[in-house]
Amino acid sequence: MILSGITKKYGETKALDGVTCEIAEGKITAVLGESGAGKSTLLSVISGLISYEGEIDGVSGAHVRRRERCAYLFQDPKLLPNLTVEENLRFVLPKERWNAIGAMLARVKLDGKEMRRPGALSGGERQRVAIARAFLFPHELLLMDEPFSSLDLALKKSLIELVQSLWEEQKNTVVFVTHDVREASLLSHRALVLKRGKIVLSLAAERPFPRDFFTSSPEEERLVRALTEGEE
Amino acid sequence: MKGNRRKNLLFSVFAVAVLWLAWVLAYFAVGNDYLLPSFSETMRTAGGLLAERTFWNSFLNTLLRTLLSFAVSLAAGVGFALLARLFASVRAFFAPVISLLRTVPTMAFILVLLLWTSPSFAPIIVTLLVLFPAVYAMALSAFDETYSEFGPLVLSYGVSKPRQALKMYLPLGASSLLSQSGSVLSMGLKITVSGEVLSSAYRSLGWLMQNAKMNIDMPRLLALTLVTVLAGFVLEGICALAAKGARRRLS
Amino acid sequence: MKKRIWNALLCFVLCLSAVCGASACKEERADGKFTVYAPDGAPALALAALIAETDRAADRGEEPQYEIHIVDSSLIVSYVTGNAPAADFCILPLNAASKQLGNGESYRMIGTVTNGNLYFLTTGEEALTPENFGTALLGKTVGVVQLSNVPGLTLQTVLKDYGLTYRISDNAEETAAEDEVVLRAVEAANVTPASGCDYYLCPEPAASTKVAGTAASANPFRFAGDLQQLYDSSAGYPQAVLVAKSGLAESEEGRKAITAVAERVREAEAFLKETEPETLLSLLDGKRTEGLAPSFNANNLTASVIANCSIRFVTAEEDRERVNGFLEKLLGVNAGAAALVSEKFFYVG
Repeated sequence: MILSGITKKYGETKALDGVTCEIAEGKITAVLGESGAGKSTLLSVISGLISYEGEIDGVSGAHVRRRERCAYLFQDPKLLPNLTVEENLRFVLPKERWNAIGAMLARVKLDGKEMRRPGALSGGERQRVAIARAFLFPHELLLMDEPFSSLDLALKKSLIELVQSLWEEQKNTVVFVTHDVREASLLSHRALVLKRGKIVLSLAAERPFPRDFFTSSPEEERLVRALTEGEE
Repeated sequence: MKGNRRKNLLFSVFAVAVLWLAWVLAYFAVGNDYLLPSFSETMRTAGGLLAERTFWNSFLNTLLRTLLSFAVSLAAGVGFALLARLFASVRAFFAPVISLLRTVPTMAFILVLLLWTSPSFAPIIVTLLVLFPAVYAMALSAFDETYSEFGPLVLSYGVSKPRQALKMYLPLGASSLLSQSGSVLSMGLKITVSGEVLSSAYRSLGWLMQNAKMNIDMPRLLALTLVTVLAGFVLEGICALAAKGARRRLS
Repeated sequence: MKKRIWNALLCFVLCLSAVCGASACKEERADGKFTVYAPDGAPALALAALIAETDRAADRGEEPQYEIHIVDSSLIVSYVTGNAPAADFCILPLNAASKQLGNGESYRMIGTVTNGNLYFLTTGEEALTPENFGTALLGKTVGVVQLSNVPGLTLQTVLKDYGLTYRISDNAEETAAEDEVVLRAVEAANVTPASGCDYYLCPEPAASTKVAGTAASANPFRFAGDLQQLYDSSAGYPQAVLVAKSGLAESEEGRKAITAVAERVREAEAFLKETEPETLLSLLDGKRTEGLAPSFNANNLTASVIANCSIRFVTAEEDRERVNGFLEKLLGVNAGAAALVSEKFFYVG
């Protein structure tokens, strides 16, 4: 996916300012930035939920056109409290995917909990359901909006490892937004640093999965510098 | 927890006692039975009312009218609010309609209603026209709140509108709707009684009240008023229980 | 083929128009039935004899000639207006009849049916008579039921006739100056000894209900004056009139019906005196709109209430002068209250 000159204005404020980059197919691209940098806006642009100036793959963004076959993982799991785990998955999945629910729930270590409601699950379990939902949904693109930011370290580790292993199976195209440098270095093949709506750094990290949670990567220093000082 | 509940109950009983005392004091202060009859006489009259067949006939007629209006308002209000949530054009269509219904005075259409319907049926329509905008607004607010939390989910995953309606909006809105429906229902009872007075509906609480006033039978008028208020409380209580049940089912 | 279809369509439309036109001209019914409407209350009592005759005919197995409807008073005008008014005969207030039907084109007045039912009530001592009315009311407040309608307007004509200065006030705290009368609008249901007025003008049966309702209290109401007597000591004022569709007068059958209905309404005065109130209630119940709360019940339909309703039939021809005089007086008080009627309005049988 090629993004060319993506600009999004809210009134006089530019949330995105001429963003041009490539989202590699079958890879995980992290978008790193502080609050207000434009990360979530970029995600909304890519998913086609808002209009924008510029083009994606040669198509203008003047009209809102929701991208089909796009899965989403939110910061908050967004599970309907009135539905069981299985019903929550069925809520978004097409019928032909329903028979894969059991296997996926086992994969994310939630087998035996299909009939529980979200209120009876822990925070980590709820996010596992959301991850299962995202990976089960037939998609060409998975967008993740700070899915680990509200989790404690142990939980974050287990869920990052889960996403890593699921990606290894599906090798889908993922764009994931975070403000956490460690998350970006653990989970991405390329990290884009956004600062005030502009890309200030694009850094590749082709190390294989799984990556060690406890060891800093070589890219982290550059990412931190780009985040704090800005780097062209 | 049990201690708190007991304490709250005591406070409620205390409030009723305060109201009773206020009535007794006001009775002596006013010193005019036409303006405020005594509590004891009113209670005596209320007891007599409960033994009257005419009263029960009238009470049931009024209650049935109220329940019918409420049921139709609820169905229509929730139904159209759901459509308004799902389709922006429906929301835009209903915005001026709801404003109009909220502001049109009852007297303006009661005469027309009496021509097209009957004195028995007109109060039902009057109540419906008042309750429907209230229920619609309530339901739409509940659905909008649900959308603010789960809108990104259904938009991103392209969940179909029927599925959104049946699995998300209606179940999640039910608890909020039920908890507010008690006050809507008791308001409906009051409006039905007013409508019955306006349309001179025979064998109704409104008719009984109007007669009591005409006959300057103030204890009877107050007794009927008390009965109506009590009925309102009971209806609110039933709805509160239903809301509790719905919340328990969700958790 | 197309031409045939157009021709057929044209024929159909023309036939339809002819049928509609023909039916619009017909006033007499194929089945000989006539509809009669009256508002609930005193005017409905004027139909008692007609209802009794109709019921007797039904008991004998005959097809009743009259279809009688007692309706909500607020809707009565709707039965004599519009493109196809429902009523062949109708009793309605004179002021309304003058405004809607005064040109005599659609309906004509057959006669006056009721002659006033407004009475003064007071908890005080002084009754109002033609002799003391010019002085007794000065400095007093009068609570008037239906102040902006015929009761209030009629009172104002009487006050004018007696040379009394009056003022309409909506301030419950306000008292009258010594040289004036203050009028205040009150709802019938709100007429109580504690409502703050010196006198109340109330229609029957509400007036009798108020007197009976306060009889046992420390401060009871009593009758304190007859507005009809104050207006015209011998005849009262023309309150409600009987009208008939103008087309009825153009056919033999219609004219017979007019004569018959007028005769039954004339008989009502005696009929009401001879008949038990329970029987009268039963007659009225059978003709009232379903679900409409009755104006009369076992408690308030008494011989004295019936007498106070002044049901007495006077033909249009005989009452022309009184009717015109009353309308002029009403117009003198409020230009929108009534209208002058044409000569055509009065039916001469």
